[in-house]
Amino acid sequence: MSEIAFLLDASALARIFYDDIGKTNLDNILNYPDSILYTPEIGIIETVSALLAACNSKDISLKEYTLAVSAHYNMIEKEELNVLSLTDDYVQDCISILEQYKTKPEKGFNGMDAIYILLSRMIAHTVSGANVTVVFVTSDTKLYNACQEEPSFKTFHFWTCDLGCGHIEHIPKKFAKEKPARYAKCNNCGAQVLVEEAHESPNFCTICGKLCPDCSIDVCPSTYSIDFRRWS
Amino acid sequence: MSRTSELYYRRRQFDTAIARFDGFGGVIATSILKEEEENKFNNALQRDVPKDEGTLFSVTVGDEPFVGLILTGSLREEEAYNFKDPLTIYIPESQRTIFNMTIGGKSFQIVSDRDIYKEQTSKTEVPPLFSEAIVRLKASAKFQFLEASRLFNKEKIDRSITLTEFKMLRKKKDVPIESYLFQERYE
Repeated sequence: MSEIAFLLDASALARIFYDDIGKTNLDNILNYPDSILYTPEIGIIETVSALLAACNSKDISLKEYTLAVSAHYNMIEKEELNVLSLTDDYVQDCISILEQYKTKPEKGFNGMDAIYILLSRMIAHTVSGANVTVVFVTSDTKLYNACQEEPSFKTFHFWTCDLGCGHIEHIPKKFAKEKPARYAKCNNCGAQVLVEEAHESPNFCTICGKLCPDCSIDVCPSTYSIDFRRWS
Repeated sequence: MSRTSELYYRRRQFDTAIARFDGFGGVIATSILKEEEENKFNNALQRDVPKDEGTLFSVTVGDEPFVGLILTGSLREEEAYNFKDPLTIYIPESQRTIFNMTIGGKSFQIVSDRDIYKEQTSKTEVPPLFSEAIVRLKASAKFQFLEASRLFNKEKIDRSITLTEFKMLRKKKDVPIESYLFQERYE
């Protein structure tokens, strides 16, 4: 088994504090014995920002925010999480990455997130020849899609599930929920008129048709477990 | 004593002895080396390490080549050959250890038959995992490992909280944290 260097983006980093779909995958990554976790500085900044946004929305208290930041601090101090900063100028490289991907709509990730790709590339380059696989972990689908083109490192979307049937590896569209068609009564003729077409959940198995109408951790049927051998 | 925080390079296969290389006072105290070996080591460093050039340092334990440890130009930052972080490696009991150094294009070899096991294990912990990636990244001049105290205001931190403890203390388990993140990224 090779060592796995997991580079977490802020979606993965923030997610370790609170539960949602993909929780089991992240727990598996955190508990995998040969894993070392990395993130760039921006990962910390984005995570703190997301936690504060949760404070603003009253999802968490400021006291709880302080506890989360403390847990974060202690992870870094104990080297359970390694925060990397690039010492060379990297803006040109990020621009080059953006020019490569940003014009493709399904890969048009946020500009600053080019740093995640750059850092993944640089780690992969630095450890090349060693028995180490670099895996970038995110739930940002655009970033994930872009990274599929990257030859030097692997990418894992931590929402990956098996829809409960176990036939396929599926990356759920979490925010696209199934909705029934909506009808309203016509004021003139009294007939039922289609106002909004039904939205079928995109989360279904292409083999057996099993459908997940609501992608939520409360009702998540997934039994997916990461096979770490894929990165060995 | 070492002036810097102790850094463990971890390897699971060798849960045996630990060799420490602590840098202080202009001398590298290679506690596992005999005095003449230590002098040779230090002389080579002082004579041949170019100021901004990395130093390749590898170790062979018994017949097994250990991973190459690369000591960067940070050795010279203080003009005193201090290791920025002490190196800790694992060496099985009573095995011959060969230290290979390539410094500024020149190669040196130091062979130590000293049994370090008894001297070291009683006072050091055995970390669970050796990371080749950590070694290489720490050695590379392209990366800087940021300490927690540089990222957060230490005075506001509760040093006793672990991630597991935080999870027990949080009021809500499920907060849509990525929604907040993606709002900031895309909306």
